[in-house]
Amino acid sequence: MNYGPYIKSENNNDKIIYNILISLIPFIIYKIYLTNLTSIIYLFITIISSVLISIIFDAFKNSQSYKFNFKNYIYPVIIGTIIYLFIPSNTPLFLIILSTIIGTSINSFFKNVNPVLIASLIIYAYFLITNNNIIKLDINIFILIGISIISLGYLILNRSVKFRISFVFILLSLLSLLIAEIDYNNIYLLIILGLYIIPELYSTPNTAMAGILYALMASITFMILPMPIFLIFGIIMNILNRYLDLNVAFYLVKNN
Amino acid sequence: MIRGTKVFNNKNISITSMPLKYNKPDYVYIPLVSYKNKNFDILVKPDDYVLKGQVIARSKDKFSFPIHSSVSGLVKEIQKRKYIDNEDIDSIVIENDFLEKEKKIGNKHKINSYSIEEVVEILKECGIVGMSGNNFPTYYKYGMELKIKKLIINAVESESFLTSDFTVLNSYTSEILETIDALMEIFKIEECVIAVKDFNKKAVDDLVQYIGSYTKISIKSVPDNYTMGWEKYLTEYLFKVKIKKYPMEKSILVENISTIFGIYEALKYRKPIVERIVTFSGDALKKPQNVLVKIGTPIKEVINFIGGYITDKKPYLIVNGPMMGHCLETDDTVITKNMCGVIALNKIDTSEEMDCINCGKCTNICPNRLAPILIINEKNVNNIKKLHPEKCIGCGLCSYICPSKIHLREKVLDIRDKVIQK
Repeated sequence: MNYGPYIKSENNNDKIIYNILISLIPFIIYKIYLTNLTSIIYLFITIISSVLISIIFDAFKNSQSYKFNFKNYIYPVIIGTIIYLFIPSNTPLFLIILSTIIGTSINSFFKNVNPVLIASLIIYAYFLITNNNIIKLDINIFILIGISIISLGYLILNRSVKFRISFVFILLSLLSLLIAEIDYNNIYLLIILGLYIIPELYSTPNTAMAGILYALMASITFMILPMPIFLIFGIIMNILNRYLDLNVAFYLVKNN
Repeated sequence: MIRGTKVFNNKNISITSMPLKYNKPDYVYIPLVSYKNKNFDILVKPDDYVLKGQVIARSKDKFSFPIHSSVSGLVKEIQKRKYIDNEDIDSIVIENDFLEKEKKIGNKHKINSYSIEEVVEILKECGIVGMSGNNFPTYYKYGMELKIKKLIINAVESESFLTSDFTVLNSYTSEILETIDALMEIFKIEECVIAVKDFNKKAVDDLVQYIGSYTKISIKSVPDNYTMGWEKYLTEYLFKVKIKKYPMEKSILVENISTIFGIYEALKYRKPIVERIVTFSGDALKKPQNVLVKIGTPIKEVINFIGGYITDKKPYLIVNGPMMGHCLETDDTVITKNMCGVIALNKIDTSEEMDCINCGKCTNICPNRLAPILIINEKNVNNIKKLHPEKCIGCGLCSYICPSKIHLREKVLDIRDKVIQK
């Protein structure tokens, strides 16, 4: 049976996922430049942990018919990369592996919970509990703005990002950061959050209006709460997004 | 805000200055269907001689209209024949004698001299229907006793490949303007807008030359955007009004341009719709073009007449456009009044469905602001009802845009039908 329409947009899941990966490259290069070349090991570790856990879960879930295909694991590569970009550069290695494994595992069961938020929560909670200082990156704001524009522009041009969520979150949060104090390290975190973590596809609402509401709530909590508490709120919002989405859809269709 | 997107257009391949005429089918197979009715009293029997345009069957059902012969010749039999919806339908087989004998109708009529009641009766007797695909009887719209203040002539033709409306507009410009003017006079319509896509600049330029003497008729080009031809969108765009369901809420009537030409022939010559312009297009055809063809002619004959298929491999035949249309099972299917195009494609998108990545593109593009992915994933019946799947117009934009290639349109329409049945 052939289903219409018989012509389709050329965009597909693989292209979107690859576009996200490509857009991450400038940030990877910049983070390696800011830390040091050995930090590339951290990148590999987060990626390998994320991919391996995903393979194990997939093989477990489809034990009869499982076939490995690397194309299916680009998303875990992205998850691993974003975790690497977002966590402090002085995070202990064991914690990176542990948090990535926990984040990816939970995400294997609950697609709507962003694994980066879980992994980051574990890491930032560790720093809070142990009273260890987070080493801040020596950000050059012009380079950061430059690569952010390139990456966001690339994602928008290739229709691979929920850009409304990115815009609302980044602009609102940026405003508050500029009013309070100019901390380039926070701006870096904000950009990673706004481009890759908050608008992550699976954990965000479908309807544009629900997406904007979600971004608004995320930016408010980011402004007023310390990082670990913000991350907890982020996870709660991920869980509640389905209800937000449904109710916004009810409202929109009723009022059309 | 107008939603929608530019879809693969591909109209140029079938555009010619005048439609080719094919009036030589040996047999025509007139399907016994009027709108959704299939119960007919057959007025002819085998070996009866019928004239072109003669009534051969009638139904007493609501929204029904008479069935006419599209050729003169001998009635042979009644046989099952594939209809546009792939169902086998009783059809009257008539052997064409190629004499084109018609019932004498006397002089040409002055088309603005009728009363409203007369117009409605003529449209009913001549079997004038919505020729853009819905097959809804036109007399019903004009007989509703509602005041029509504004008239929109829909020549937008949003679907890819289709150019039959464009051809009608180019080929019969003066007849169309005369009909619109008459309808405006008879129904006391204050204003009329002919809507044409930006893409059809030539049609706009040609119309402007003719339109000078018709002061109440204007022509407007609309964005080259799919679903722009949907009457709700078109009305909202042209008149800046909010339409809840139908344009008649605001006393605005939307009429397809091919239907207007059908009305012209009915009012001028009392001629029923026995032939129409159909677009034959697609990469599987040697010579894509528009053809004036008799109702009841098998598609296969017309395709052979215009040069046939490029290869021996059986192509996909899509009727009425690749977005909202559907695949035909065979090219033995016959031409009907509501068949505006047959697209023969060597390849169609048959990508396998993948898991939804929650991108939200379907919800952000739906012209009726539905949330297709939420509708198909929702398990709670009350929530499904609150998502109003019955509002789906089946435009196919959700399936078109979906990067996971999920058959959203089919699934939502399936749920829509279940909700409507309950």
